[in-house]
Amino acid sequence: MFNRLSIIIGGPQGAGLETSAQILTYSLAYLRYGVISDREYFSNIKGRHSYVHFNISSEQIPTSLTYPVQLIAALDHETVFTHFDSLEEGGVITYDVFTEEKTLDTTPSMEEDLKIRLRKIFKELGIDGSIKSLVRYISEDKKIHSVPLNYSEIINEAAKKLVLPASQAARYVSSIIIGAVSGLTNVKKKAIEYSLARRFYDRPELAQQNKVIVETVYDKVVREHGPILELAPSKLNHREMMIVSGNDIVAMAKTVGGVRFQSYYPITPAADESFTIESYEKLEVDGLEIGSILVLQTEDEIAAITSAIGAALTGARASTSTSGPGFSLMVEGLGWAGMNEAPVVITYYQRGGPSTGLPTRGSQSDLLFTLYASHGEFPRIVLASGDHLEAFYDAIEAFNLAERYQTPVIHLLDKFLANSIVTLPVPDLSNINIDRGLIIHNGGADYKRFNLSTTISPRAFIGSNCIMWYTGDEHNELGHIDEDPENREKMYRKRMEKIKIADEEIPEEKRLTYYGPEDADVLLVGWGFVKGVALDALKTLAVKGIRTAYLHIRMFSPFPSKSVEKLLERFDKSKVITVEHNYLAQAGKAILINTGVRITKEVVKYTGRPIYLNELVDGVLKILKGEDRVVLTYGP
Amino acid sequence: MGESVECNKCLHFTVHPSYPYIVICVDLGQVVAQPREACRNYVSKTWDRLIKQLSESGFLYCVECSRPIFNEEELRKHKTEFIPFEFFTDEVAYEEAPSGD
Repeated sequence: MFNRLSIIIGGPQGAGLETSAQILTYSLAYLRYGVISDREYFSNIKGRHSYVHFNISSEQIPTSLTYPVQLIAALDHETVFTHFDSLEEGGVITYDVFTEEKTLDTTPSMEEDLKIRLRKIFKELGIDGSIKSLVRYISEDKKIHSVPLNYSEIINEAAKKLVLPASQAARYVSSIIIGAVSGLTNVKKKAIEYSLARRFYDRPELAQQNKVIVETVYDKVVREHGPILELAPSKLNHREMMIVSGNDIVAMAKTVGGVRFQSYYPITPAADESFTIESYEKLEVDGLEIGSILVLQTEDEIAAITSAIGAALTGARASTSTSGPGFSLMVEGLGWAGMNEAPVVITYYQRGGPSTGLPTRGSQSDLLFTLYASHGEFPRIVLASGDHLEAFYDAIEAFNLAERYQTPVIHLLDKFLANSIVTLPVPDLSNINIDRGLIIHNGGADYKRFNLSTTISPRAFIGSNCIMWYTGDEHNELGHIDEDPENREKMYRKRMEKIKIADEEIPEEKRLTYYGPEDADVLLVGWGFVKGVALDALKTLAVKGIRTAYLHIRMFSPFPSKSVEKLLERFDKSKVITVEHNYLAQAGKAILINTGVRITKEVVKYTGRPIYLNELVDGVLKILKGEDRVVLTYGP
Repeated sequence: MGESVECNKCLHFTVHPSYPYIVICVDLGQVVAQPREACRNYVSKTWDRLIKQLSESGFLYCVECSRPIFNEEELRKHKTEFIPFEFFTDEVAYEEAPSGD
């Protein structure tokens, strides 16, 4: 039995793969397994190759993905071609027998670059390039167990059982892999039944029809092959588990944090967060209606940020969510918010850039952009979450910080987090505070929005009895345009000194976390979604006798300079390594700017695919052998 | 059918929009695993019929290449067995579609 399994399910984008992944995840969570799954897909509505990479554990909640995998379940031949070399020796592959004659030439949806690489490999391996020859090769040479299934026969059989036209039954072809995966891993039928009912709660007939296909395949696989990859019973004992994506958890957090206005223009990988908030926009507690959240789809990102700023000025907790191209458009609005001390939250899901870049792939290449975006100088707070739980707490804290320091807050996330689904214990809400900062309700006509007697002036809301003016120009205490040099100096300093106050007030230990032994020899430094794989790497490296720690930076502005500097001093410079999803090692640059300490060792990845545990460990070992920079490229 | 004609030349031969190796005979209401000898209900998917269909609907679609076809010149580059006359309609396709660009 297996305590840990890595699985890939693959098929064409838009053909049911995502639903299959959801149902499998629900089923695994129902049986109390820890799961993390990452969806990798092309920027394409339907047809291009898409896959979901699962890491499942009966002992803990996994935080990273790794290769090789033990099981590949292929909905099409492109999946077999793309992933066959990711299989561990002794692993299992399941596929449709009627794709056996397919070759690279009869797979036009594949990118030519990959075909060229594969043709070379096939030539070296002496195989003719058909699925049949490939499966024969991996079965003999890598001891892979093949589980060929006849998808057409299964659909016809299901159509007969369900008394449905075959064209209707064929819509459920993606359920074949649910049956195959659950049969091979011994995920119980009752878990699948629960998950189908949950997924299709408003369409029970779909749950029933899919169930027939799943069970047909399940029985066949168990009968003919047995549960070759049987999962050990889970030892996890959480009373309640959530199954959430990064988008979901941020939407939940914003709701808990009291968001009342959320604007967006649809963009991958941010839009799902707004859709989730929208579906819960009517707020009820114990049947009592307590308010609502206005979710506004604007005509573009310029309108998204300016409407959120407007909402913030009326006193609503306001945010907008976007990705790189959207944030580029928001920069003018960001400066306006800085000038007018508007407490707006921008939730920023990074993806591969520049320009349209890799719209559906991950990246951490916008850190320096968010720290310095906009002309002129003004303070902004930049938070970066490392996992789903951090994202939950940070999304709430972003509103508190925005309102306490009356400044825009950028909450940095990335596609890896947005689209990965994890099982997660319900977050502890007991320590959550809502801090709305200094607010004045009865200032009347004497109210000065930008009162210079205090660095952070009490904030009044548009619509209250206080009178105030806002403009993009430099202004006086009332908000009127004022270019006087003395006023300029005072008002400029007033704005800029807010970041100094934030730096003094926000404990540095909240802005970074040190993981690992105090007397570690090697220090990895990272941020964002690197956290999970870095923490797993510590364990793997420890087994190899390398005492490694991980410094996780969670806030980049104000930067926890003192603590970072102090920590870095403890380590031999040749053993401090930044690990990042960008080319420049941008967090390393931010550390240099803020502390004067230059980190010279880098492990970076910018292919748009996540950093996998196996390649990170290899990368660290190469650095320890003397390399200065390792570029990771694993993953199709 | 006296001559050996495979059923993938038939008008009723409809390819799954995502899995072109899963074929449905809309006349028999069955999944046809592989093209086989045409049955007596065979209706030839002639070139003229395809051209007429292209002219009437404005486009055809090659399931194998996942590409639309807008004119005769483009049509010549594709295998006719992967160009269905009839599509499966999937009313829940949006559930699997990405939400933004």
